[in-house]
Amino acid sequence: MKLKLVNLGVLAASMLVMTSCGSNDNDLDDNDGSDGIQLPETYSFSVNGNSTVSFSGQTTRLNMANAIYAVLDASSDPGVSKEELENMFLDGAGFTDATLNGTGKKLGNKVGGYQTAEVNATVVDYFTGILEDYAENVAPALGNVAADGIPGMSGTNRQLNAKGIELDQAFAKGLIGALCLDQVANGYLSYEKISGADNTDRDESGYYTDMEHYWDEGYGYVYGLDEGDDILLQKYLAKDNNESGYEGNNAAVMEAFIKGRAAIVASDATIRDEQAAIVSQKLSEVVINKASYYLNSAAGKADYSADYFHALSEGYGFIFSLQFTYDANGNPYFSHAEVEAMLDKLEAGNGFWDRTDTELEEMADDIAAKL
Amino acid sequence: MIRNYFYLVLITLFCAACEDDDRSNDNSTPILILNGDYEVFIKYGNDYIELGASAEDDTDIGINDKVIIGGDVVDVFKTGTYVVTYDVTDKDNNKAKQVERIVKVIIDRSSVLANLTDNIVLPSYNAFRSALGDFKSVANAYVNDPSEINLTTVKEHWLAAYKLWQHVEMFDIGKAEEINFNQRMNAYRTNTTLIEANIESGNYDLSADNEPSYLSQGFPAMDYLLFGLETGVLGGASDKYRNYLEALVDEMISNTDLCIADWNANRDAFVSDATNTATSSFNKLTNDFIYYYEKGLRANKVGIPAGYFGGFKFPNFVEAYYKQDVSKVLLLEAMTATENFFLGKKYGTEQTGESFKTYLETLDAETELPKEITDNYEAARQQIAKLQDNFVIQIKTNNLEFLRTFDAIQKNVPKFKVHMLQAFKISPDYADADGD
Repeated sequence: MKLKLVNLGVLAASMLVMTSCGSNDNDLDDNDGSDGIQLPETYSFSVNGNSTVSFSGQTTRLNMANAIYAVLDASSDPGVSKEELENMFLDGAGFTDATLNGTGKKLGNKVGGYQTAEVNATVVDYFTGILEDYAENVAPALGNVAADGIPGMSGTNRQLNAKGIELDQAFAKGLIGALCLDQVANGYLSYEKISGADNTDRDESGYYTDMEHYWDEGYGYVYGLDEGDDILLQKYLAKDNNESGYEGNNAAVMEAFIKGRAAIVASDATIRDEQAAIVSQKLSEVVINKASYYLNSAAGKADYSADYFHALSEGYGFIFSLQFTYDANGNPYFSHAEVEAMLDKLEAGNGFWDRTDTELEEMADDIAAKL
Repeated sequence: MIRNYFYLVLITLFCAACEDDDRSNDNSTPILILNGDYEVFIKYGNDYIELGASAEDDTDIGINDKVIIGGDVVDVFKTGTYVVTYDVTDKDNNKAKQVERIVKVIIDRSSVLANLTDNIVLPSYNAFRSALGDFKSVANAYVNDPSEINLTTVKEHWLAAYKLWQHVEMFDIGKAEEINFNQRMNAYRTNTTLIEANIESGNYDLSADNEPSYLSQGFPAMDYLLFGLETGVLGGASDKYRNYLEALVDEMISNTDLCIADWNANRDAFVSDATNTATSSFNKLTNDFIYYYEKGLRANKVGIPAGYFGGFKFPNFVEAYYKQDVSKVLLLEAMTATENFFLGKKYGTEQTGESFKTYLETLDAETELPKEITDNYEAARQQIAKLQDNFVIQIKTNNLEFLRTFDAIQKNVPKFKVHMLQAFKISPDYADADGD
């Protein structure tokens, strides 16, 4: 009996048969497709029963940030010198919590670590400048009431410098960009860093590849501490999560981290880079949103109140962090020069003592316009 | 989809029907038709896409799935001619006439390796060795007659050899890697305490394989002897300082000879190795080149002294710290050496051969990468031109320009490390030392 082609439907169906069971070798790669990625429920990956996830260095640095913040936030003079603070920040030494000492981890060589050397130097100066100002001018004045041009205490626990800046806020909110966001978006998850990493050899422990580890290190800068302990990027990602327009962002970032990591396991660079873009985009939005939010918030507070200085100091730190954001083309939403100009505006004259609500609201609008 | 499944079932039914009826009747041979061209040229390192062959048979509807691909396995990282064969046998055991495809993988990494090895690596080593020999003779003359004029000659030859060294340091491969040649020759943070102790005791082993040993020999140790001692010490009554200078040059010569002998002995094997694994010649040479550019050149010569890595400036870690005013000259020489290597410029000439650049162009005729890289070199050179000869003073008086120099040199790191390696389909063999 000769086979007759019954109709075009059969032809189509038979072609389907051929392509689906068809030529051998290439089909082995089919699980590279977008739907072939196996996603775990949580950020956990293992090989032969051994976890391949490691970000202890990031956890250590986030703890260091907490420890320095606690000193800057003390309600009375902690009696700390500029050298002691710089030692903690630049050298990772001299912490009260001995587990933080001698780890080889430092904050100073990571802040703005993916900026040009020229910008990097100004970033390090921003932080060491804060530490110096605190130790030499603010801490000794904590028994006084802060005033126009005079450092001291505002309210019960807002330690202001001569410009009205609460330095612990400038420090922590600055780290959100300079440490967390820069390391994640411009560093570990960036195409130039992650695509250049080896993804075949497992390290000496036999657990992770360089590429997996890079991704984990990025993850650690966001999720390296429990949410309740974190004062940096994770905290504000979680805060935004409850706000209109940002609902679910925390879960979305977590999911993108998980999916991107799974894509690396599956050697799927396309999905990896898509997820990296989601992470960098959403984390950048947190910084932009908060910079704008706190400027508006400050404008809404009573003039010269402790709450005003506090909110504006948070805004100041978030504005500093804007230069580390990462847009769809891999550029910052605000350049280093634009950020410097905004900070100069806020510090003009006697700084926060001289700002008007209109000035703050205008700046907030300019920033929010990028969203 | 439901509709398709329906037809699948239909086809199965047809086939089952065929088999029943025709089992003993089908003596016709199936026919194989090649998909795509009979002769295919693959550029070295590019993917070979197997298009397969189609089979036709008057009764066996599923025969297309039975095509067996055999013959040579195409290795796109090895030039040559491969014959891929296609066979098929229908359900009644009628075998089709075999068809074949000729696949030619053209150009190979060996031609690049040959030019780089024969026209750059070996001549650079030889020129350097010759300069060390000259240095040794003038150093001998100085030991015999420690006059000022002889000392001046020694200093000139030290700089001449140091400049040529910039053309050799990037080849950290084979014997050089094994004996930590670079560390022995040019670990900037020379340890003067160790050097003084060695000189004082006269009892030292420069061949010792440890860091104190590295930090008391090579160009930086010579730098200290020639430019870092109090006036008159080197040429003084005791010859122990001069003896140490001689011991240093002897050690440098003997290590250099080991490396040259190694290159000569292994040249053929090195050049003919056209595989693509982590330990292949081409992969190692490429990775070592990039590693040198990133660490040896960018970080050591500029980044670390500038304080880019961690907020502390280290002007005392510049290259040639005691002489000071030649750090810029050495940096420029290293820039030229790495660019020449990228371009495949034959040592001492303006003539170029097969290189990373030509290989990039072979893989992708439209590539912009070589131009971007040479433009970056040019911009970096212009930035370096703004610097003082003396980097210690530069760092102390205007570190900003020094940081900008780092940024200008950095621009080629991703070009090499990401874009060039990806074009070559080579995995990086080192990760950034992030301290985690």
